[in-house]
Amino acid sequence: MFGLLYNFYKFCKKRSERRITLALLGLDNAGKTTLLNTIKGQIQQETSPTFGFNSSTLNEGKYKIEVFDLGGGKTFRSVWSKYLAEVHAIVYVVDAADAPRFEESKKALNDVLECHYMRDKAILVFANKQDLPTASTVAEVVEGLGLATCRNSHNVFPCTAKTPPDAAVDERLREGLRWLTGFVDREYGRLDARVQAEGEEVRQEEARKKKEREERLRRQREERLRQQKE
Amino acid sequence: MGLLTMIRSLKRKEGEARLLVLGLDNAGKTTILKSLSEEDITTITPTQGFNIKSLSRDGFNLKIWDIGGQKTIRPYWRNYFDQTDALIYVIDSSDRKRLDESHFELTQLLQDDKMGGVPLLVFANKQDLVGAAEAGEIAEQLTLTSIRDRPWQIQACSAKTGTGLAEGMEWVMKQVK
Ligand SMILES: Nc1nc2c(ncn2[C@@H]2O[C@H](COP(=O)(O)OP(=O)(O)OP(=O)(O)O)[C@@H](O)[C@H]2O)c(=O)[nH]1
Ligand SMILES: Nc1nc2c(ncn2[C@@H]2O[C@H](COP(=O)(O)OP(=O)(O)OP(=O)(O)O)[C@@H](O)[C@H]2O)c(=O)[nH]1
Ligand SMILES: [Mg+2]
Ligand SMILES: [Mg+2]
Repeated sequence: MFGLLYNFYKFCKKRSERRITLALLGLDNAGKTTLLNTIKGQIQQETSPTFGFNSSTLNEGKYKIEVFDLGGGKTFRSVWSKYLAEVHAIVYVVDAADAPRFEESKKALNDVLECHYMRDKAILVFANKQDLPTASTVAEVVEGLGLATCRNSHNVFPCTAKTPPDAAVDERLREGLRWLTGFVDREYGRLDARVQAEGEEVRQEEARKKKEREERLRRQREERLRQQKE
Repeated sequence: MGLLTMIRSLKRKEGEARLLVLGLDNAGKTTILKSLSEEDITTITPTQGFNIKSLSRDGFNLKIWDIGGQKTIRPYWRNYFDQTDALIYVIDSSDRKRLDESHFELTQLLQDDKMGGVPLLVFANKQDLVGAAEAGEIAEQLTLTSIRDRPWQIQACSAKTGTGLAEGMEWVMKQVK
């Protein structure tokens, strides 16, 4: 009897388990990797600049959240757009203590928002590094990033991602995530169907391009062989 | 990926990792390794078979396999795939004409079961030469952006001047430790 109940419970749980994919974006040095490490409980890990991709899975209640941590460096930002089709929402991290770069950050965010895969997707903004005395307030970050004219649903949370040993993890990180998952949850059916379809569209396009390049390579080889024979 | 990574770390000898260095001929694989171990890099000849290098980093031992990249040798690459903890793929960033070829070989590599989940570092070498491609461009050209099943990182570097090599190895260390 108990086993039956337990199986039923597992069945319900599985059905209600929701998979959410997020991309962690923002300029280099904003604190993306640090923030993810902190949420995962690896608070002492020193980071180095990311020029690539790393995915982590977080369990948050009934959500299984896959987070893509991408690099924010100037020579790397162009690849962000490749991930937007398959995410349900984005987390955008700003170094709040670096006001001189707000303009650059605003530009990078606008480039993301222009992508049509971002339509109606929510943005969680973290105004990070609040521990630094020069950190801007939420209002200043809203102003600096031009969020007032942003049509996507968004919310800004101040936070300190870097956690000294023995210190407690900043509660606002979880709060922010909870806001974002709550938003995604309300729209989940429609949003997820779209993410699946558009993600597949992009994968097929990539596969087609890959084929094209292999074909080009094959032709080059044949050409070279012919020239060698002549 | 989680499970694969776990199995791999169980099989591994404590405090030791096996790295595989691959890439087209002339990419600079051997020069990178010699530069990392502070050997003379003025007289390097194409690798006919393979070299093994041992490097120690904070009490951790890296066994690095450097395999020749000439077309005739590439079919043998797969013989070295077993128990690889991280793959280092080297490209000549100044040789844009061969990016398609480099992309093709990398795609073959990553498709192999034995390479499943193995972290990938791309050394975008020869950054000292004019017209070297940048990180984002290489990520697109090599279609790294469609990878979801493993962590990857691009490190711009120059084996000639030594810039970027330590940073690249630091990333690898984080993955295999
Ligand atoms: N004071 C302070 N420093 C922080 C905080 N969060 C991150 N940092 C520091 O900021 C630097 C950059 O952090 P990363 O997490 O590597 O930044 P990133 O956004 O991942 O950067 P890229 O990978 O280059 O895009 C590191 O030195 C961190 O220790 C914070 O809340 N407060
Ligand atoms: N300018 C410049 N030349 C480099 C650099 N790295 C390597 N080279 C040169 O590129 C050539 C090929 O270097 P190797 O290290 O032999 O290349 P490899 O990848 O080991 O080649 P195979 O063994 O044939 O697969 C040599 O002439 C090196 O001096 C670099 O960072 N900058
Ligand atoms: Mg990072
Ligand atoms: Mg060699």
